[in-house]
Amino acid sequence: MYNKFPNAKILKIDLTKKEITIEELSGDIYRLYPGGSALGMYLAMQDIKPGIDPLSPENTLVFSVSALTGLPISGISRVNVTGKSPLTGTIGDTQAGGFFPVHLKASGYDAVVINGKSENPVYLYINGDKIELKDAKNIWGKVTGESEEIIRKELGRDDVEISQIGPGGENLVKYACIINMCNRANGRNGMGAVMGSKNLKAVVVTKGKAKKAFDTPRFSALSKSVAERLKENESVAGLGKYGTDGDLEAFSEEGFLPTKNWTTGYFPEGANNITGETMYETILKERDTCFACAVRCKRVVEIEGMVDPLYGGPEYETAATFGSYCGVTSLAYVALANQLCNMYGVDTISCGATIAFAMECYEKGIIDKTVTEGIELNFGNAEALPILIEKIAKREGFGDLLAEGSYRAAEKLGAEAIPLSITVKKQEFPAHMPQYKPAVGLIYAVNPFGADHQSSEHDPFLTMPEDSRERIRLAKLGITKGYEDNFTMDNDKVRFAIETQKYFSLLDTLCLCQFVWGPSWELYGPDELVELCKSGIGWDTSLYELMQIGERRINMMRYFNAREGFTKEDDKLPERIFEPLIGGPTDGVVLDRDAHDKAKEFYYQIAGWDKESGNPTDYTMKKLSLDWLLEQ
Amino acid sequence: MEVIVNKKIVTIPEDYKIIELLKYLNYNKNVAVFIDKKQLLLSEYENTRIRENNNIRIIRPLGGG
Repeated sequence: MYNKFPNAKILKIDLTKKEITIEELSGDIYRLYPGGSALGMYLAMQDIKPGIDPLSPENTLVFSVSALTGLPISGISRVNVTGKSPLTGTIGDTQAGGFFPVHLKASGYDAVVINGKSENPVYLYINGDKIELKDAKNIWGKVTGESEEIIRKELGRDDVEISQIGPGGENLVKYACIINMCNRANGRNGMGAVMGSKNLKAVVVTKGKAKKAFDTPRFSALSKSVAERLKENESVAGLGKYGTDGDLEAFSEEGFLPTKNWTTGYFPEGANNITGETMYETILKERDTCFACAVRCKRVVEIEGMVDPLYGGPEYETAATFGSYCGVTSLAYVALANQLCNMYGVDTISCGATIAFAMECYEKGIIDKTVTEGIELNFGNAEALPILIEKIAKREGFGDLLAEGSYRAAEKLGAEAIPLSITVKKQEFPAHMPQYKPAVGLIYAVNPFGADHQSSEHDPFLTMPEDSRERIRLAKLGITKGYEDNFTMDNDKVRFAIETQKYFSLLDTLCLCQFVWGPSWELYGPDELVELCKSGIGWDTSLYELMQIGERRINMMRYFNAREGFTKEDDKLPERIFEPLIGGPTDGVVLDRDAHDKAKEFYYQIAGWDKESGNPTDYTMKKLSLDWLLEQ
Repeated sequence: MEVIVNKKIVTIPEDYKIIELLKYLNYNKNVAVFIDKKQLLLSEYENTRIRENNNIRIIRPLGGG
């Protein structure tokens, strides 16, 4: 006995006209785009015309959760934000956890679509059926912690969750993010700048109740198995204890921790200082959690007089970008940089990477103190981090240049600077090296919204033995070949990349956490995901339908980019990845260019994309029920 | 006795099993192990005895995050 797929309730806000409407999307359509990133794409494609300026009122910003959001189980509270990205010019797509997502759903909405631009700063207040645009003049310019406090006081209630921008978004920093709880970021692609361009400071939702499962006994069995799963899964248990930063030192030992703007993979002088284990032993105040999640991977750190626990603690990417990328060995300054990014609302990855780029420009003499306004911007200058983050967020002086991201800054600084920008589609690389993980490198190149490490499974899990959890689960996606090392790139590896990309695309659609729900090492695998859909909401689905949903979302994004003029020519890794690393155990190591190029061609082929343009063919679009886009 | 682990010589007691070596070297069980180029199954870690001069390779699956 199963349910008809539910309709989606969509809240639409036109900020220019100050119009608020509520629409329903039928279950038949919602099932094709059942939330999050796919629903965001579906809704964005109704409104965004090709060629618009991402920071103009013509852009659309969609907050979306999924048909599953609100069920009381680990790893289920994620919110997706979609719009055209001011950083990449492609579709923008970003996820965050916390409690905001489940309460947005509890308010009755699957998505909030925001169009136009408000004349004055406002925030959106969703109190069940009562929707208001409220004056935000008094919080415009405030950092996230201050705004939260003022909003709660003004509303006279604490039972609200707030997703907001900081000064970074207001000042249209190209990589500004959207923050909830002052420490959960919809980090990438500059969606905070899009929100800022609309004069929308925050989306505030009142707290509601968790969703009741369709089949309580079956759902409870799945949900309660989490304790046993955590006991048996050392990878996820380690995440809980040491956070995502737990493996940072191991990456350095292997020689694959991006260091000094990706010139080396080895950071012996600082890796131990900034790793999750040291954080755990020194400045960790508590392990925080998202709604209903048993993993508790979220860090909360405190340094008296320096770092406020309100702003959480550094993830691996943050520790790497502000630490090893910049040659900074001080955990205190990494934690401070994390805090400032969360206060001002800028993406820690792009911000840290852009500062690392500037440091290399300085060391190479491309810029000097007249440009940096007196800052000696050598690698390792920890004290420069807080100064620069503030300048970036406020677009002051040198910060105004860096607020454009490393690629646009390089274009302004001249030809010598361009190879120092480690980006794809103008988005800075996360801290996983394609030289170590060539399948991840392939996805960095072809991913529709720029380099992203959360868009596919990582190569090393294919080295695990065939009776391991990882390999048994991957086999269910048709990935059966194991590898003796991480470095091989062949057709089977491409199949691994694309099939797990579809799976991760599905996770971003169902708004599930990729540490809890995944295709290999995570707490719950593909079988349990199907069971979650069935027992949670009575969706009689299959792995086939779910994988197709993931594939549909990727193709919609790629189609959006094609309309903007993107082709396979934009799917390029920076030259540095093909140049020898310097020092440490990986001295001289490069990514094999020939193997990478062949892999890309094979990827386009099996994705059903045009050989010349690298974009989806009409056949592929039609196969995925996307004919309506071709007719637009 | 001496064995080679990830290209370095390591001295361990006679009759050490893989699971004991992993513990000794601060690895958890969640790694790939190759002895003289042959990969072990996870189920073999408990009982596989290491012999002198075995060339052992241990790979940590370092993922995302």
